[in-house]
Amino acid sequence: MSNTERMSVAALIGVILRRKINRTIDVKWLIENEAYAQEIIKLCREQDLADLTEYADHLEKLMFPKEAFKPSGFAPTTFQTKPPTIQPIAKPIAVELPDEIEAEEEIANPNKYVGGLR
Amino acid sequence: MIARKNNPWIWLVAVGLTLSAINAFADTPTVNTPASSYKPSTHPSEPAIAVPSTSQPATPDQQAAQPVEVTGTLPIEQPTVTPTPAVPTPAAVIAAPEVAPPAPTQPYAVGFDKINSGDTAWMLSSTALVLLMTIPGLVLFYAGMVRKKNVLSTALQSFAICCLVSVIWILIGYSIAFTPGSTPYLGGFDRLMLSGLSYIKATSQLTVSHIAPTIPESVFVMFQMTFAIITPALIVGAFAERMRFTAMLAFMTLWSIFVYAPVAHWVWEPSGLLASQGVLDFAGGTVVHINAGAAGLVCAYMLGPRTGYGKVPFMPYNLVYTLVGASLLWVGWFGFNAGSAVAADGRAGMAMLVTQAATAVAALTWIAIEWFVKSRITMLGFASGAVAGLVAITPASGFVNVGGALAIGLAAGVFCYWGATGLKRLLGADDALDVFGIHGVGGLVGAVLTGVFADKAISGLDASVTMQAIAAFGTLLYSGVATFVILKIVSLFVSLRIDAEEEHDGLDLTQHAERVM
Repeated sequence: MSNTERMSVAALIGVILRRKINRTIDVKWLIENEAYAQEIIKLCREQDLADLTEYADHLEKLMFPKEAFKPSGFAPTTFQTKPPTIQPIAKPIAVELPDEIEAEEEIANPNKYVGGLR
Repeated sequence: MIARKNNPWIWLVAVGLTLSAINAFADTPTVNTPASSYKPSTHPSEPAIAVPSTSQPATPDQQAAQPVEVTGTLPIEQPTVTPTPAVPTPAAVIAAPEVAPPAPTQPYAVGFDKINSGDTAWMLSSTALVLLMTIPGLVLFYAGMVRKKNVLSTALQSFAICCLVSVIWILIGYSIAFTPGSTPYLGGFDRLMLSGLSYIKATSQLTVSHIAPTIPESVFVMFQMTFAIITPALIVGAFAERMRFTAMLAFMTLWSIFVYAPVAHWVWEPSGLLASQGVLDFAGGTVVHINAGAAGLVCAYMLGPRTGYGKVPFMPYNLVYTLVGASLLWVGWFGFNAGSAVAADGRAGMAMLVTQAATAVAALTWIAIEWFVKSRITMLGFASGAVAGLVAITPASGFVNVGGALAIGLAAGVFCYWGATGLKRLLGADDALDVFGIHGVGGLVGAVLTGVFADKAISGLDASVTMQAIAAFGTLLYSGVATFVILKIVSLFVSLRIDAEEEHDGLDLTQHAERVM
């Protein structure tokens, strides 16, 4: 399962949640942490929005592809290192990866690339 | 914005007046060599009437393929000729048996033995090189300069245009660009869906274009198709990061048909409006670069600036992509310029040499100015300077010597740097990747300087700076006005620009549901 596809669906979910119910989520954490993913999928289905439900189903298939075929006695490993945070925020923010933010902070000249590339 | 405030009819009238002026100017005796004394040529930008070469020895295979007698099939067509006014003087009557047959003025059928295998091999290679300029050259060049959230969209736009224009070119573009029409403004419809283009093994016949009589017409169609592809793909840089994908497809469809193909006809078809007046454009300074630059500027005005333009930095995703793209453009440009000789000959070699010289000088000039102004030498500066040089030498590449190329490269570095910085601020349009600053300005510089530095020893033709300037600015005006009208029409059916939220989230996600990791 490609990480790109997971990230794509997760980002779409993030955008819709922010627009429809003004909630922001951690997109990167969503595709890394199964418990967080299950919470978000549940949240999406509770909204009763067709597109959101569709993306939630898609994400579930990508995140838990072989859930039904696991042998009995198998305990799913969780990698949760921090509690899921789903909090409403006053101002919407973009779905942005940390490296993007870091790159913008690394600009030596703050006026570079303002109003033109060259 | 200027385009929004002014009445479009004023611009339409201005274009009409310009075209009339070009026609009127053509009647003056100062322009180039009279048509009656043109020498045979294989280059489309020359108004000369090409004569099929029979001096090239056929390969053994071709000789073997030569039919001794053709029965039960279509005979080889007699080339259609332009009737010449008869002047019944005694001398003419005496000399009549020695007069060469009039040259063909539209595509016609020939035997396999008339095809030059060397020319054909070079043109096949050149075609691949020019396609390489768009995919992946331009794709990478542009994708590296936009923000991370728009990389896929920008790359995809060029790729999609490649597919779209290929089909349009086959359906209608080639016919209205490269066949003679009833007026000098537009070609005919004889080659719609390439009807009439043929290759018949059984009778050893195939069709050739009257513009390139030593190569199969199929190769000529493909070669010109790659030019038709890259021209609209260049415009993508002007409206990057904010145009709706469906609107872009609709705009490019109409633009290819109503702007690119007619302008190509004017400049490259011997009976076209500008070619018939002796305007020189070896590889597309006017047809490709001025045309795309003007369209890009109008697109930038019509779509408005990106959110945050001039206030926040727009970080380029990866300038290594841009340098790799520029390098691919440079290599591909040898097919673009040297291929425009439509022959594997010494003139193609000269075109390649002057292309390299002008490009190198322009890149060095750009970074010298950058060092002087900003005390920095940037990778983007090197890449931009090289592209500026390539653009400016394009119309001149088959007409100038090395000295002229060095001068054009120097001018390109200076003017295009100004175009992408000072002029850009002056115009106030968010031309995101400086399509007008580099392609528009570089094209204008090259077109005008072709008139200054054209060496008659190379092409056998005189050049007129006045005619070059009229053609360049006339094309600029036509392309700008036509682009404005097309955008208005498209906007009646689909919104040109994505909404603010979609722009904030990026085109990759909102238009294509994909994103770069």
